[in-house]
Amino acid sequence: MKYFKILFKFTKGYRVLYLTSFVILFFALSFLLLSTFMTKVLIDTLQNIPPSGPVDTFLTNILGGQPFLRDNLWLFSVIILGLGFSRALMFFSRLIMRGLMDVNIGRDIQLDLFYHIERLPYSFIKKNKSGDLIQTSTRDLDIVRRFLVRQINSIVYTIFLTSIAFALLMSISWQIAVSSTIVLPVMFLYSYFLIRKVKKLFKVTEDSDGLVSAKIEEVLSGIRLVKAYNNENFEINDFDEHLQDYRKKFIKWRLATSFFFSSTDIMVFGQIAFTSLFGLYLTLSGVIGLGTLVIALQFVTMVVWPVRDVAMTLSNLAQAIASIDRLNVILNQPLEDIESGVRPDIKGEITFENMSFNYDDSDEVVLKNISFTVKPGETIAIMGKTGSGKSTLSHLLTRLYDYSSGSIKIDGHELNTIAKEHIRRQIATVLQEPFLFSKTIINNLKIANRNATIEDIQKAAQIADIHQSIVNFKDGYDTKVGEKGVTLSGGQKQRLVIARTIISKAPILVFDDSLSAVDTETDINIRSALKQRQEQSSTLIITHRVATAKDADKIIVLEQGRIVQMGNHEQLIKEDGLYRRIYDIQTRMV
Amino acid sequence: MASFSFEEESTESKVNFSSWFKIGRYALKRSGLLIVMISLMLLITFHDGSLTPLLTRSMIRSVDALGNNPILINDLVINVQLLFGIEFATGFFGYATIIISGILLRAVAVYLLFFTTNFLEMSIYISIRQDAFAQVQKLSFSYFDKTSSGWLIARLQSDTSKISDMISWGITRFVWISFELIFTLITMFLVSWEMSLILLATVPLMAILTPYFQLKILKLSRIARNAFSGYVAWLAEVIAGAKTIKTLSIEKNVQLEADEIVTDIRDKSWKTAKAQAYFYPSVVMISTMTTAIVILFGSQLMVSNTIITDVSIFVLFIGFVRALYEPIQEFVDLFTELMSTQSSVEKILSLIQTKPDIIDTPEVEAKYGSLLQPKVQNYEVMTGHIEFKHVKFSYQPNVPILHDMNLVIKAGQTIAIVGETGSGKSTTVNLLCRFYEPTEGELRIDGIDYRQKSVGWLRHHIGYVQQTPFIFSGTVRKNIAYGKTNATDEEIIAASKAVDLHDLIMALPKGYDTVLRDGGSDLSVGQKQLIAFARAIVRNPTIMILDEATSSIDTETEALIQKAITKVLKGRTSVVIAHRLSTVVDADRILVMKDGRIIEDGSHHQLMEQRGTYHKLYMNQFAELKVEQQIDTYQKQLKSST
Repeated sequence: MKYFKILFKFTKGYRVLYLTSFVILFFALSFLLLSTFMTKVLIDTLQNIPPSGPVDTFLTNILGGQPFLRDNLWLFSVIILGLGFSRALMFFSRLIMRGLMDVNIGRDIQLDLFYHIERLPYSFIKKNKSGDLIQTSTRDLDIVRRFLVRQINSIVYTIFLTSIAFALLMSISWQIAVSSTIVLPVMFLYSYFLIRKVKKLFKVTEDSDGLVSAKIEEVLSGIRLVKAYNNENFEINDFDEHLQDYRKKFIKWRLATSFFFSSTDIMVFGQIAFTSLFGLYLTLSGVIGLGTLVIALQFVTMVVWPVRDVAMTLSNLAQAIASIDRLNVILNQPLEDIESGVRPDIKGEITFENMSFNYDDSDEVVLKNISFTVKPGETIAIMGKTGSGKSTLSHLLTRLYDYSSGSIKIDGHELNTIAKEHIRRQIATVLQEPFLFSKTIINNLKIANRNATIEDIQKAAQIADIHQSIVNFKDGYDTKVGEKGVTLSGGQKQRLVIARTIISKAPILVFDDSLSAVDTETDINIRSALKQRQEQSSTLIITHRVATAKDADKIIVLEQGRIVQMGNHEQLIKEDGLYRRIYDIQTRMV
Repeated sequence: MASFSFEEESTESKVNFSSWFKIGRYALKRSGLLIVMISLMLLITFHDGSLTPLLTRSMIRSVDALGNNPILINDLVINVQLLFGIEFATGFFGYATIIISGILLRAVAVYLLFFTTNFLEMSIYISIRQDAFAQVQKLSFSYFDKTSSGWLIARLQSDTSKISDMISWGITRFVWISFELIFTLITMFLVSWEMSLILLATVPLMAILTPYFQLKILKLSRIARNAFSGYVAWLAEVIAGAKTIKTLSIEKNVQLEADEIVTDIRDKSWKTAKAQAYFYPSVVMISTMTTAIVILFGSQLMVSNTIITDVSIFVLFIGFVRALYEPIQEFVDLFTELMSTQSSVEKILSLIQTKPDIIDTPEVEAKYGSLLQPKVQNYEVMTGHIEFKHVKFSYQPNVPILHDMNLVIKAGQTIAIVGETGSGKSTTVNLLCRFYEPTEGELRIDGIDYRQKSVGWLRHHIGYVQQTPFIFSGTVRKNIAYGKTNATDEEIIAASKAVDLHDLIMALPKGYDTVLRDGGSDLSVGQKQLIAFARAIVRNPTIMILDEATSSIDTETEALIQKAITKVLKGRTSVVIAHRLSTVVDADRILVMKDGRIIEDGSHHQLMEQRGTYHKLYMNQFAELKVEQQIDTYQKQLKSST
């Protein structure tokens, strides 16, 4: 029941469409069966048998009675043509409506899902595999959409078709009506349960196929080793073992499938044969006329196949339910609220006061009692080993995570009261791993500031020491990056990202270990260019290079989440500690 | 990102007969199976297309002849009229027996047919996969450098199943509908050729309309599907860049972009839906028209009592309308599927027909055997004296990578090659392993050009460790034994002891039988690399190659590895490519490469004194290191200089 509620929710905005299309479907099927029903009227007319039920009496009378019809047999063609054409028209409008529902519901769910994926908290995305999110957006969504539109439609179709056919036959004789449908429930249940068994075998086969695929992928990614170690033969034999396992399971599965189809075929044709033989008996006994026998046979042929299909569809329900569940996990995730909070003008003063942080799901303190101040325009360098918590500082500043205790103030405003969207626009971060979209260079740069002019962009690229490289590409700033464009080196990517950050004109800049991908010389150039340009920006540089840190107004050394040293270059080289040790190494080397 | 490969699907407009013929041979190999399938279908379609309609008709006619007078069931005589003048009379129960045994026979035939078709599908599937996989094993390295593994995976996975499905079920469907059509037509014309001609009047209309719409729908749905693939690729990128998007706070822009792409998919799918909405009702119209015509002419003929003598013929011909239209639609369906599978066929053929670049001469193969059937007993012992003689190499014409390289590595010597990316150091190793062959010049092993012996012989004597340790899914034992597939337990243990790995393995829950999954995600990089070293040692190779083998290892493990390396290299000719210079300090000789040339050659101390490129590289590396590595390296260096 829970699932029906969820499915019902998805149909929002299209419920009138659903209703209309079902009403039309009802009439279309009635017309279809009526035009078949006309065969009975025709045969009765030709055979001179009086109408035996309310429906055919009505039809015969409205057409002028049997004697008149016998003289004007063309009327049957006209009626069938009329019914057929109006049916085609209804069919058309129904397909249009179904198409509309299909594409629109698909789009709505896709966008809703994307909205959620986009606004999931960073911690959720980090925990989940991107493959799973994509799987939900493709396969699961497709299964749900198919169920919502096509499968529901075919279920309703079968119910309508069977009931109308049954009703029409009932209007003539209950015996023929019952005998024409008696095998159907048995076939339905039989199909429903048997196909579930077949599914299980399918699952086993699919798993084995997965192993074959994994083998292929493994060999391709380790191909260098396979060849260097002369193991071609070994791999071929191993692959063959996988294939034979798959083959065994496949054949077992398909044996069951073949059995399913042939045994349900027996029921399908059994129903037809039963109708024809029992109908023959009824005809001979004078209970029904020949016309009734003929249409009963035609009705049965129309109804049996959809009934089997619906049984197969319904046995798929478990799959649809699993997909709905996966969709719901994402749709029910609390979204990251980026809008609410204050939006003060930021000059760039940052104050940490006794701030501590640990991840929600662990007790381990990542940062402890951090206190320091950055005045507007100052540059602070943060140094420390891997795992000392220095990157977490930048995550906290941009509110990817919120601190656990103590306080961080930006220009006097408590950080966790400022809107995330706002603070992230004020703090431009250059991440350790540069990320570029598969777009042109100019579009990648413009992302940070849609209003940036060409001059702004070129200037930023010059500061980041990447302008010349860009101009050297064949398409200059319109060069596409990524798989379908040029491949950039790590340093080039990093410099582009730095340029992107400069374009954003944020009052606070954070370099999260991001200057390490460029060589020392470029690093110095970039920083001095930055200094000239953004006098007013407060800058946080997270680094492991003394050369990068030494010009900073203040240098903070972190160890195991605590500040162990703080001061400028001159002060720190006089103290015994991590900073001086690194300084010694680097100065002696050069 | 790499695990998602999005290929644009394409539809071709011409049938490529030669490709289909070549791939069709996989089915023709199973001619016995094909004959069984065809006979079964003959039986089934005779039942569906001829027997059942005629039996029904005979029954109706017999009942019709009785007029409207009830009789006892035992008194019924049905005059069964089959084709070619076969006629007999039977009672109710005889009739029932014929029908029921027909159904049962048909069911058995369907069962057998489905099974044989499935069997054929499986045989084709396995044969193609085996061939393609063996081909992958045979191809030379240049192929893998040019071809993405995503492309190959698509060929080996989805294409093989698509093709085997298409061929096996394609044959069954084609034969089935052809037979059904033939039986229906024969039955129709034998019953009444006049009525048949009337019925066929609308067939040309169907024959034009159906292919027109089907191809259109196919193309439109392709467009929509490609748009969707584009969205999936875009989505994967957005998820990968989540952190960047959040820190730039550009969610709203990204949302707009999603809106644009998804709406575009919607519009494209809508076009497909519209085409379908025009098509199917048109078919209904035409079939209604046909039914109406059949009734109109039929009733006139009946009233004038010339050709049609009873009502049964109506029932028969109204049924024929469906029996004729369905095959036409099926044929068109089959054709569109054929066209959409064609590109898969062409791609897989291109894979299977590619000739490997590096092949042994017939004389060499005669002596040493082929790659897949080696004659290991003929392999000579290698002493490990390597000589590059005027070796030139380029991957692409006119872009030389190595210029006239001359180098002698004495047996047992350890040489290290350093240099920037693109300097040619990896190429040197590629040539040495014969992943590639020199474009000009000779590479001699033990004084003989290595092309005079087989690829198998060379690699039999090489131990190779690459930058990222590769772990196969399977036990630790299997991973080490990968170096020598017939290694005994003693050999495996000895190899892992040699690199100080044994104790680490014994500490694992199941020791050597511990199963490693997901590329050994439970192990640290250092542990994985030790396994790779053990794997190399178990071969007991004459030449050992470490291709940046220490680059991805953290400082703590490096000390451990360094010890292992010393043992691994002992007594073998070794070539070490290293990014991190601390690992090359102990080499007998260090070569510095730049732009495809060796520019410096000597021991660590000699090169440091030269104050050339090596000296500069050595000094610069510290700036690239993390804090803890700087301290570590520094201390190590202090130790080695005192």
